[in-house]
This record gives sequence, structure tokens and C-alpha cells, in this order.
Amino acid sequence: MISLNKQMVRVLVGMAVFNVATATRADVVVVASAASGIVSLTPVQLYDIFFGKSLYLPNGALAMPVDQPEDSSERRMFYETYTGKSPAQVKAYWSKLIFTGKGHPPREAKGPNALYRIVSRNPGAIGYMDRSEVDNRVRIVKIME
Amino acid sequence: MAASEPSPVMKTGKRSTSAAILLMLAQAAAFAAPFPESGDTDAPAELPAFTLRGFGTVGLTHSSESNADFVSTDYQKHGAGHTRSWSAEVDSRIGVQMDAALMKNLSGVIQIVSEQQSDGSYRPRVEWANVKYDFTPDLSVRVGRFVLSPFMASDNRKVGYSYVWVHPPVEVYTMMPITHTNGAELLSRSRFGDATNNFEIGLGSGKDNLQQGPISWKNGWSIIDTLEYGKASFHASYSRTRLTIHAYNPVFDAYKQFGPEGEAIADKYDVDGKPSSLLTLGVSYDPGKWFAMAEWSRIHSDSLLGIRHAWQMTGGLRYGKITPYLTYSRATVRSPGTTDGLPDPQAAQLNAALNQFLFAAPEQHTVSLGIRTEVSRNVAFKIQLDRTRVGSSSVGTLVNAQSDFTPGGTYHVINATLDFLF
Repeated sequence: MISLNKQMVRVLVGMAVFNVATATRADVVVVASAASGIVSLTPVQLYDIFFGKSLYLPNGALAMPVDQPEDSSERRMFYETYTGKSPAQVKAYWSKLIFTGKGHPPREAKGPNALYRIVSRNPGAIGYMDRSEVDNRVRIVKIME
Repeated sequence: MAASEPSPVMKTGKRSTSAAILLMLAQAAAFAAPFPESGDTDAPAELPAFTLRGFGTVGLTHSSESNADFVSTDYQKHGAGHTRSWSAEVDSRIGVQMDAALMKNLSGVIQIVSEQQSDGSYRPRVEWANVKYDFTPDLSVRVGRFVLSPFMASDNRKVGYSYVWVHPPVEVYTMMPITHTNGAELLSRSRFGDATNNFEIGLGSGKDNLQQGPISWKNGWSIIDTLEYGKASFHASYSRTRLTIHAYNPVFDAYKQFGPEGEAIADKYDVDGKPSSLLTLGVSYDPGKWFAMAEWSRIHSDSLLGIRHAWQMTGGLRYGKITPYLTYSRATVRSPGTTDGLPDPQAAQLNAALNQFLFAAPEQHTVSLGIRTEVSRNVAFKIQLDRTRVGSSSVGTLVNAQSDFTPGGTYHVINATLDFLF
């Protein structure tokens, strides 16, 4: 019995560690320039900015959504977490707009460093990155109703 | 109707070459090129900037109705069923688009598509060619050639990757034969709280070659409105144009030789420049894990086109990369489908021709069951089964009906497509 309990404890601890690890890995946050004044967005505002339905930020500035590279885990997690859409759904959506001349997808940064540069230099830029990589050049935007 | 036969520009010998090129391009696109969405913005964009993109579909279609051809547009000479049991010509196409950012507020687009034409060739056609000027980010005008979207998927109907079906439901999408138009269009977008409203007014004219011969239209105008609120979208449009279907003219010219009675028939049924109107309504809801959409339309013309209704409903579920879906679509003719014509024995042939035109008005309904699968980045595979019931005095949306064709029957269609972007 005792050895079994120890075994169970080990399993439980292992599961807990695994959960913490996945939670950290999945923690993609929305960021804006520290100078933008954007503190929070509603999920609908964020969705509309990244899907080109709204061209402006709530403060009236022209929005500049910025994507991470297409094969990045941040991009997949961002769209799945914040918009409920898979990469293929997002792509199908943009293929409709591109080939009818009605819109272009967000600009794509070459990687986290390029995204930092774009977001920190453009007050209208909205991007996303892993929480562990955020520093004081950008500000985390709260997403709440 | 000898007059309805469009002059063949390319003969069949070139078709197999075109098909081979399409296939090669498709394979190359599927496994090599990434779809360029946009460049890195690290450096400021230099103007003019050009982007080249493309889309395509390789499709295979089988129809159980061997006395007529199943086609997916009004433009195809051949389809599946009669001409070939299995046809690659129903859904296969390839398109290339060049976008040009010319100046800060001025952009241009040109899109060229190769697909089966009414003469059986794959001669590439210019589908889009316009310049767009943005007065503000939310108010633009475009001038040149563009495709209006009275239906929810009519402007993107050639981009198979962008929708769930193998092709948009034929009952609804072959109702209005007009594709691109030459003219001008005003596009405006406004926000009301969290809702986005897109409003378009288009003006234009054009001409094209249908399976049944040349058509032309002029003084056309359209008002299209799409309201998007979160995951819901509402669509409504009204279009009016003066349409001429040239194949009909010789029959009515002949009727006119019979004096006032013949002229009355010509006035009643001819489509020669008479106004035709199209009203559409649509709604869609897409929370991600599932989706549903419905659209309804009504065409009206004081001619043999008469009054026609068409509608479709589609719903689907998304399980990761697999999207099963179900569609029901229906086309009905609300005006009389036959006429006694002119009670003159010498007009018997004309009366038969007129009834043949009325017979071609599609009356049918289809249940489609399909699956879309995401194969890899930029590639989707779809397979769809249709069960279609044709009206009792109609050929439905089928073409090339043979004398053995019996109305009122049921047929099945199997479609498979590989859709890609490059």
C-alpha cells in the first residue's frame, strides 16, 4: 500500500509539473507599444482588428495588427485561444478577401525580435508573444469583456 | 440553334495539354511554394510593391445521369455524365493574381483564370482588372473589371480553398449567369459599436459566352450590404440589369414574322435587353467549432426567365482538420414552365424551341454530404456526394441533355477536389 501511494504521489507530482509546463508554454499574451496607451481590448475588438473588420484601435489610431511567422506556435496558439479559429480557417478567411481585392492579412514579422521592433516603434501596432519573452519595450494588453 | 454555337477558338487537341499543365502546376504548388501572405514590415514598404499569388483546384466529378452533363457553372461546354462518366473539367481551374500597391492610396489588381470555357478551351481569362483608390481606409472606389457578390460566395466562387464545398451549390450559384462586370464600384465600411457594415454600389456592363451562347448586359447596378457582428453575418443585395441572351433572338425574330400575335409572344418572352432583377438575402453564423449558413434569392424578369427562386442551407462541424458538412439547396420556377405558343401549324417548330428554352429553367433540389480535410498548409481535400431530384418539367442545372433524358428523375454526383493556394 505504502509503495503504491508513493507511486501515486510521484504520478501526481509529475502531472502537476507537466500541467505547469504546458500552461507556461501556452501563455501567449497580446502586446502593444508602451506608448500606445492601449491597456485592454475586448475579445470582439481584438478579433475584429486581426480579421481586418476594424481598421482602428478604440482610441481612434489606425490599427496595425502584426502576426508571428506562420509556422510559429505563438501564432497557432494566439488564434486558437483568442479567436477560436484554426490556422486553416484563418487562411481560408483571408484567401476569400485577398482574391476579391477586399483585404489583406496582418503583416507578418519574421520572428519575436522583429515583432518587438515593429510593436515598440509603432503606436498602432498590436501583436502577441510568449509571456516569458515580454520586456519593458512593449505592454501586455488585457483581453477582457 | 446554329446561331447559339459560340465560335470555337481552341480545338480539343489542346485540352489535354492544358489539363496536363494544370495538374503539373497543382502538384508543384501543393508541395513547394508557400502562400505569401505579406512581407515583413521591419523595413518601410517601398512603392510600388507587387505581390504575385495564386489559387487552383484539381477536381474529378462523376454523375450517374448519363443522358446529360453535370456542370458547376453556366460556362462549361462539357461536364460529367453524358460526355464523360468521370470528368476533370467540372471543378479544375487555376488562377494567378498580381496585386500592386502603386501609391499610398492607390492599388491595382489583376487576376487571370484558366478553366473550361463555353468553347471547351482553357484560354485564360481576365477575371479581375481594376484600380482602387482609398479616399479613407473605409471608403474606396474601384474602376475596371471586378466581380460583384450578390450571393455570399459569388466573388470568391473560383477560390475553392476559401469555402467548404467542392463548388458553391449549383441551384443558387448558376442562377445568375453574369460573372465579372466592367464598370465602377464604391465600397464603404462603417462601424456601429462592435458591428461592421460593408456597403457596396456597383455599376457596369459586360458580355460573355455561356454554354447556351453569348450574353450581354448593360446599365447594370447592384446594391450589396453585409453586416458583421461577432460571429454572425447578414447579407442582402438587389441588382438590376438589362440582359440579352443572344441565342433566343432568332426564335423571336421569327415569331415577329407572324404578325401581331407573334409579336406579342416575342414581347412576352424575349430577353433582349429587358430588365432582370435579382434579390438575395443571406445569413451565416460561425463560432469556430461549427458553422451554419443560409441564403435565398429571387430572380425576376418579364421574359422567359420569369420568376425563379433558389435557396440553400449549409451546416458543418469542425473536428480539428476534418470538416463534415451537409447542404440542402433548391431551385424553383415560379412562372409557367410551358406555353401553347402560337396556334399556327407553321409555328410548331418555334413553339417547340420556346418550350425548350422554358424547359431549361432549372427546377431541382439537392442534398449534399461532404468532408473537407486540411491536407497541409495551403492545401485542402474535399469529397462530396450529391443526390439531386430534377423537376418534372425541367432539365435542372444539367446541360447537353440528350433525347433519352427523362425529367423528374434522381441522379447522384461524386465530386473530389484538391484546392490549393500558392
